[in-house]
Amino acid sequence: MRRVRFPNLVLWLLGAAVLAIVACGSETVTTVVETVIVEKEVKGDTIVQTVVVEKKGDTVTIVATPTATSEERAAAVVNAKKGGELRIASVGSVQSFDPLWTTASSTGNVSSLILEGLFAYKEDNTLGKMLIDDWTVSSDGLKWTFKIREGVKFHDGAPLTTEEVIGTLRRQSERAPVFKLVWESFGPASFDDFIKKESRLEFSVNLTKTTGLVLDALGPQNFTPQIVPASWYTLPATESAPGTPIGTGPYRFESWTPGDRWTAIPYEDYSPSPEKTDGEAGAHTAFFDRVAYIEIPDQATRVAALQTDAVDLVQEFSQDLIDRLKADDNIQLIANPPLRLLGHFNYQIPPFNDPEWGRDLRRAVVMAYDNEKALLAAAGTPDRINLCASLMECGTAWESNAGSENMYNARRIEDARKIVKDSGYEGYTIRLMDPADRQPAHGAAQVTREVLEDIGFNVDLRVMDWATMVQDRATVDRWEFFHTWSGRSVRIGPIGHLRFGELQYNAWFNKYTDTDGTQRRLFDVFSSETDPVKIKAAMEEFQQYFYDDAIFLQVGEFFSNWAASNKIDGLHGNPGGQKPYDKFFK
Amino acid sequence: MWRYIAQRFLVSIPVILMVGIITFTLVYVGPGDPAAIIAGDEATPEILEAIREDLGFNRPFPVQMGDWFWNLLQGDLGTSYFSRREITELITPRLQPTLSLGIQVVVLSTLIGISTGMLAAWKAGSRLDRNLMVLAVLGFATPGFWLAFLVIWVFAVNLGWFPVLGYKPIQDGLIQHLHSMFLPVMINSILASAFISRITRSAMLEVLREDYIRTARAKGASELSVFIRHAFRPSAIPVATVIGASIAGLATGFVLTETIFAIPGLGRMLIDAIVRRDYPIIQALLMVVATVLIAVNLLIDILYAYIDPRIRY
Repeated sequence: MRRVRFPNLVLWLLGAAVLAIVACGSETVTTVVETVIVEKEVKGDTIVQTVVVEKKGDTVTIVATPTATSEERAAAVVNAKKGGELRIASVGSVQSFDPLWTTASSTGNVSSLILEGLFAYKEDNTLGKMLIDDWTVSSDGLKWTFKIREGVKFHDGAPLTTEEVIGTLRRQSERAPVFKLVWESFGPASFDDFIKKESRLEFSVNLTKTTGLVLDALGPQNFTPQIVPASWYTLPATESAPGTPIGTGPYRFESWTPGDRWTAIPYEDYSPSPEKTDGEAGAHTAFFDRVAYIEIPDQATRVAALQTDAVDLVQEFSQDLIDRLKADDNIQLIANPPLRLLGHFNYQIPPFNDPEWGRDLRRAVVMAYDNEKALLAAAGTPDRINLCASLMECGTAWESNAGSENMYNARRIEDARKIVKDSGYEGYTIRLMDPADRQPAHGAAQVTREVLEDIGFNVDLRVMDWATMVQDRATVDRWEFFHTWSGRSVRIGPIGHLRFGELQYNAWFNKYTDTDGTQRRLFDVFSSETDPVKIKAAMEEFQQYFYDDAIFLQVGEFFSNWAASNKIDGLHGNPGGQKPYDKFFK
Repeated sequence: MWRYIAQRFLVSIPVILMVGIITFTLVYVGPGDPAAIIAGDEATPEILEAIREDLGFNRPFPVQMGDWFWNLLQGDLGTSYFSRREITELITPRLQPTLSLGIQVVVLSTLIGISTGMLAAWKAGSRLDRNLMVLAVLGFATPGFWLAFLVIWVFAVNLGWFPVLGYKPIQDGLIQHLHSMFLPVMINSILASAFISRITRSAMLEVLREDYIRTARAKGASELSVFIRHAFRPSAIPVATVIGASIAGLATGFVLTETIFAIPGLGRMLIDAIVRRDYPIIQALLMVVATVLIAVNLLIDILYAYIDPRIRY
């Protein structure tokens, strides 16, 4: 028998130990999902409860946290205790603390804690008062006078007055889209005539024509006017504020370690809104002693950090890790509101701008498209997609199937192929941009390539990173088609969702021109009409027009999750559900 | 010797300048538009143009490059497009994590690589030699990211011995610092030591066949003395070369390690800057990395002369 020497023995024992640990560990994460059911309860235009249940044999398990009712949440908050540090794994690296300058999500976290706006959204998607105390409207509807709450202080101790409100509105006047629309379409030419100081705590919005969008103009939107002191609002809108943020919110900025984390602590002189807490609106409470946003760029590391209690909340992770999280009893999954996947045609170059065949070629792509396959490629699993033909969010009062029959998920390859052949564009090369670092767009691009080739086009699949695509899509002659996605908020109705989303005028994605003026006519209805029934009718007409003209490719809805430690209470998927205020450790 | 060092130092200056010109040009002609990233999806052309004007993109290429070099000569690395902070101010807190990681990895990988290489050479042809070399081959054939995820899963998630993340600066205590850096240091050291080990073994074996080694043994020198005094020093030149090359490799490896372990170092900073197209940071970091590598090469050259006194320039 050969003698095993000590050094060799140690080496082999080490190898065996690692293999044993790997083998043992793998057993704990094996999950077989047989059926996934998504149940929704809809009241009016709002989903009030979303329950994702997973069926394994005879066992049915809730895998996504049900969204509790407002009453249940209010009851939980009554028993809440203050204290503890909430550690949130942040996806991006924060570079600027100025959410009035960039829409980067890592910067947007500042808004969740430190800054406040004049209005915020309630759970029913209506506006609730934040820094506004009250307002009056003149009998002709042209002068709206707003009063700011008395006693609100910035984190540096300075009182909030109309100076800061007007200064902030002026800085955001070129970027906040709803504010800009109301000023340009319904207000006087001069900003000073549009927004006037009435007293220390009062200002007025002065119109030349009536509109139902005045509150929306002052409320949340892209580049929301969140009220900041003079050191920030005096800067140009195109310049990032270099300092740390000072606001009126429930938490104040504490520290920043670049590349690692930034923290906030409760603001002792916080003056909460007298309104009841409702979604993002109303009174907020800083339950935690500290909130820390920790930068963890890698998705697998974020999940490992949550599992080892190094963080309490993870904002984003890849779907192949979800089984691992579901198997962990210490973790809760929170379903996010749906996102809408779409594809854009380039209207400025052939073939989709062809005066005779452009519309038919766009329709050919839409009617041939395999929406289900593309959504699965984008989101991973059937429980994370929703075949939704509606331009507005499915499951809400705005949902509509107008115009989508035989167009959405129709897979009419033969019909589409005939159109491409008749048009003379058979064999034409479509440059399809594929941002490989963004899975939803990357997954959909693979399916789009197949569809385009199936109907007779050649495809030049241009694989790139997101930043390159952001640049190339703004350059007319570098692409024919690409995918992106957007939020599916029904807030501000169609005007917010479409006019300022994919179909806004004079933006990179709207080189589309409606030849008969239908789009502009209906968008004018959205902004000037106040009767919900008429707005809904206009929305139906617009969606019919959208599918007839195949303005862009509506792929459908997909969902993402957040994951959190079971120790946190108050997390849910409704508006405001995942912001750090009003949450607490059990 | 001093003349040689001075010559090498002077030669480094045009090399750094060339690196500067090449990186600036590549970044300038490369795809991506920071203004579009800053402005977001719903920006209008007017907003994009205003941001471009504000950032100085509308100036001619030679003017932009001239400005950058002029500021660089004055020690000004520029200002980040996104944070509007001085780059020196942004880089300073990121130096410690990367330097600490680098120093620990170089020391540990050199110790592991040289000792296992010498051990393998000592027992050349034995089972121990074969096992060590199999491990060395596995070491440099294993993808770093895969090994990183494996050790996180085993030692952090399952065993809970080490943290997944949570870099602790040295000021918080040396033990805490070393504990927080253990996994990334180990992974990089294992990968880097594999190559050092292979080279040490082959260099040692070559030297051990030399006549003067046989003479030393014939004169009654102990095996330890033969190995350390007579064989190791002449074999150290290729080993030093490999250590220098592995430092260059570490510069890129740290990008991955710092990303996976969420270490707030220069590698992470570079990746973030590339994703955002924050050109001043990309250029500054590439210049820093190039300068460090040139300095390392210079040190290795000097080390040659120390290891082998016959080497004179």
